[in-house]
Amino acid sequence: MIKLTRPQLDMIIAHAREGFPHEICGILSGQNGQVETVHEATNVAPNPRIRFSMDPKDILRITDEIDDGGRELLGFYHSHCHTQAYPSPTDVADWPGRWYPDALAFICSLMDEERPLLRAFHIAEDGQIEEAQIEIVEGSV
Amino acid sequence: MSVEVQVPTVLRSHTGGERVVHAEGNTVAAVIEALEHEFPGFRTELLGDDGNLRTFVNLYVNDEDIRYLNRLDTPLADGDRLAILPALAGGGSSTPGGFPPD
Repeated sequence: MIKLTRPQLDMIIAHAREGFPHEICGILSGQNGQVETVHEATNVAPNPRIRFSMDPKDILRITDEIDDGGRELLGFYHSHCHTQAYPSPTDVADWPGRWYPDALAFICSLMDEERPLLRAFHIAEDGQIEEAQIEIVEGSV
Repeated sequence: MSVEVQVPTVLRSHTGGERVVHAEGNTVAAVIEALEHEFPGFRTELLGDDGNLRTFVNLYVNDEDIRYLNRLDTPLADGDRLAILPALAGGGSSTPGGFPPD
């Protein structure tokens, strides 16, 4: 179970829509399973319509911010512009589960333009995928 | 020669919390061995059983990805900066419809 506020959910969806038709990406941090900050990052993949690659400078900056703030890295998010909110083979192959065994993969699908969907998954080092429930709670961004 | 190594948050347990450490070596591979010597277990975090860089690991020499240089044989000069970062990549397929929900 991971908790997101409605404004945080809206922020991720807005980020995905703003980036469309390119995929977008970012990091979620917080404490005790409650997301506190949505950190937007830059997708530097050469083929951003179907791939994302988070800018290493953003990774360094954001992970240091999280560490400095005494928070936990709760998950990484990215969008799928034309496919379901489910980890693709590429998502699984490139997942940094060894370094972040507890982090969740959040995927925001824009396949249905009217109804964007955010889902979260635990991807084990051996590639096993298990969905994590997202609870939307009251609060601010 | 000594290079400055930037350590990501997840690997700082190996370095006693240090964000930056210094290591000797004239290639990236040599520096990794030096790090392994000083911080046992470090090599396994960066390299797979085949000796290649793990897919989710990025190594940058002075802001350049070693995958676009000479990979682990990339030469290093005194004062160079070696940054270790998680590589975060993936993405949806080009096939509409994608993958099963469960």
